[in-house]
Amino acid sequence: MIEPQSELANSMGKFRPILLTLAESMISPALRGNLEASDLVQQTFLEAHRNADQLAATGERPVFAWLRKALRHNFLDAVKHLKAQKNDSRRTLRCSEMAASFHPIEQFFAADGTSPSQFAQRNEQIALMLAAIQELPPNQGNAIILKHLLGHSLKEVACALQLSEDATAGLLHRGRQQLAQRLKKAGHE
Amino acid sequence: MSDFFDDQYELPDDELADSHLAELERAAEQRREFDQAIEPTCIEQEHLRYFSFIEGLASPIRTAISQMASPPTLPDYGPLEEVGYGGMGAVYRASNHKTNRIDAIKIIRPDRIACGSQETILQLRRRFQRECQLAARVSHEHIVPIYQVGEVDGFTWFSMQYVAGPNLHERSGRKDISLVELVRCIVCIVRAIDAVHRCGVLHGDIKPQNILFDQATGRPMLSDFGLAELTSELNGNQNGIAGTFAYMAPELIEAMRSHRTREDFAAVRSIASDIFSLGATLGSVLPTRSMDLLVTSPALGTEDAEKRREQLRNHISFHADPALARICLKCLADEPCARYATANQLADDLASWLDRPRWNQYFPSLRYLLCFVVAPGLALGGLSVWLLQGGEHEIAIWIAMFVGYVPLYAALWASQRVHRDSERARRELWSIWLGHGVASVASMTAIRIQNEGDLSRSIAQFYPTCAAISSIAFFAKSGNFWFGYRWIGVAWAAAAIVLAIANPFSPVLFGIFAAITCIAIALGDSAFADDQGRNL
Repeated sequence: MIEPQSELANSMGKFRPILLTLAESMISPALRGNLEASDLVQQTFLEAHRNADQLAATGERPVFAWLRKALRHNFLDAVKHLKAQKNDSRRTLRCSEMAASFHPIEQFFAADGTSPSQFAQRNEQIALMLAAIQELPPNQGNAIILKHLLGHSLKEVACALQLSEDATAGLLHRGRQQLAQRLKKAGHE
Repeated sequence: MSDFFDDQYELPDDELADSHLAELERAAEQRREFDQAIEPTCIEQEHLRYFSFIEGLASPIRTAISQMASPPTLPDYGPLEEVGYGGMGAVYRASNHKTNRIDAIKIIRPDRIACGSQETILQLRRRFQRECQLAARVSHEHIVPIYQVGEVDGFTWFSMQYVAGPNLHERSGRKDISLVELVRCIVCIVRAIDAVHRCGVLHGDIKPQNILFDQATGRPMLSDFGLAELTSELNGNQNGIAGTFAYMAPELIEAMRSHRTREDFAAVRSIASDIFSLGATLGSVLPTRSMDLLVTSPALGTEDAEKRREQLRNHISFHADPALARICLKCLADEPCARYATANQLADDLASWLDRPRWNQYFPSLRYLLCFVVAPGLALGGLSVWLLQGGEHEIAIWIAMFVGYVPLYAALWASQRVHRDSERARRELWSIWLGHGVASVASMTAIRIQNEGDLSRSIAQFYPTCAAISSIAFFAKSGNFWFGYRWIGVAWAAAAIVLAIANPFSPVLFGIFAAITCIAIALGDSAFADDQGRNL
């Protein structure tokens, strides 16, 4: 019983940075300050520990799927809670719509044995990238999330980070360099 | 992507300056927007490699996240079906319950609202409302009309005519459309832009992607007033620094690079910058690689942007018909004052290019007829005059002198019967050559009367006079037809002097000059080109 539990702890440690980046990407700048990505992930892991017995019996992949689903629920609950508090604003974030349309991320990661190996390999790289973003200095990581995961322009990223465009471009370039280096290292391990 | 994981791949040691990185970052954003084939220079390569690598991994996640926000439900409209999106707005197609018609609906991109900061959202709303107002202000048969403007759930939206056809960029890539048809479409758009300017509005984002073809009528329609601005309110510029590099006037790129304040950018925006965009759009539909050149010129530095513009101009001069290239290059002039003052002037020049005669349509292989039949005929005419001038056959001499007009007038007369296109140009040609014929006959008659019995002296005096008349005729033609006619006019003026000196060989020399002129016109004037009208 002890063996699978520690394996589960290992897996969760591995998935933590990935989930953090995903959570940060979901939380729009308008919601920042009200929602914390780390709180969402923490809550998700607490729930995972509560269900440790069930999860430990499954493999690594189902654990990841379970964690993502739990993260989604926690995120939607948090948004619902916020909406109840501030009824006037955030009307564009409709929970029902989100719940219905959240499945693309689920589908995207749901590469099982039947999927082509290239797809699986790509998902692996994406997961590695999401994890590696957490290892970057906070400003670099934020810049990368805003630019590449939220699709903001250089100007918007600079505005959100309250930096000059030149400095933001420097952050982004160095962030991408770091990410590529980390992915390269991970590819060899 | 795989070479990132190779042992050989090393991170470069040298650091790029932040300002340079910012330029590269914007250039990379432009590339993402247009999804063009990328041929980066050495300087860009390293930056672009990282950008594409991370972008490639991140884009599926971004798409999934952006799909979390869906469009609102609009009153009177059925479910919205996305047909495209730009930097600010998304365009949907939906059926109107009341009119039972399919309309296009433009709304601020839901993901922009979901992911943007409060300030960004406010700015987006302001820009979007402005777009509605300015687009509704102009009414023209080649501008997509606005039907209805509304607001729902905090989203401003407007409905407009749904233009289902391809855009000019896609259309020009196909082989089933001739250059003449494409230029005809551009003329319509240029007239529409003129109407926009007359309403005191600058479009600010003219590019082939914003020119759509109506599937039912085939009419080109101008759309997207997202960056439009009132000329009277340029100082309070709402849009800030925006546009598409590839079609942006050099003064705007310069303002963007050096000052980067809204005021500076607005100060240099003018009708001339729209004219430049029209020229770049025209250049992009010419059968050259100008589009690739333009899109892959992110303007890394002043010298670089200038070099690439020069490269584009060379391509246009080399590949396009000289008259069309001249029009295009006038739009692409570096100095705003050197460009067309109004869009209407550009439209007029393009229309006169379209109206120029295309003789090959009426007489296939007219070029060969000119080179191998008419030119030798003219030379032989001169030779016969020279041989006959000592004898007593004055009528035969007169016939040999003026027989060259017969094929010319026959061609002009026949073209009128075959096709009524380019009527204006044909009338001009008729006037010029009829005048030439009448003036020649009149001058020979006058000279003959003056010299009484001396025919040889009359002939010697006639040919320099006729050469001078030809010089005038070719100068007159150089204005609206081939530019080379100006040089032919100069050559004939010189020939008038040579012929006066070369007596008694002036008839032979005149015949040779006429034959050379005939061959030069057949080879140089695009009106005689074999593939005219299909592809240049």
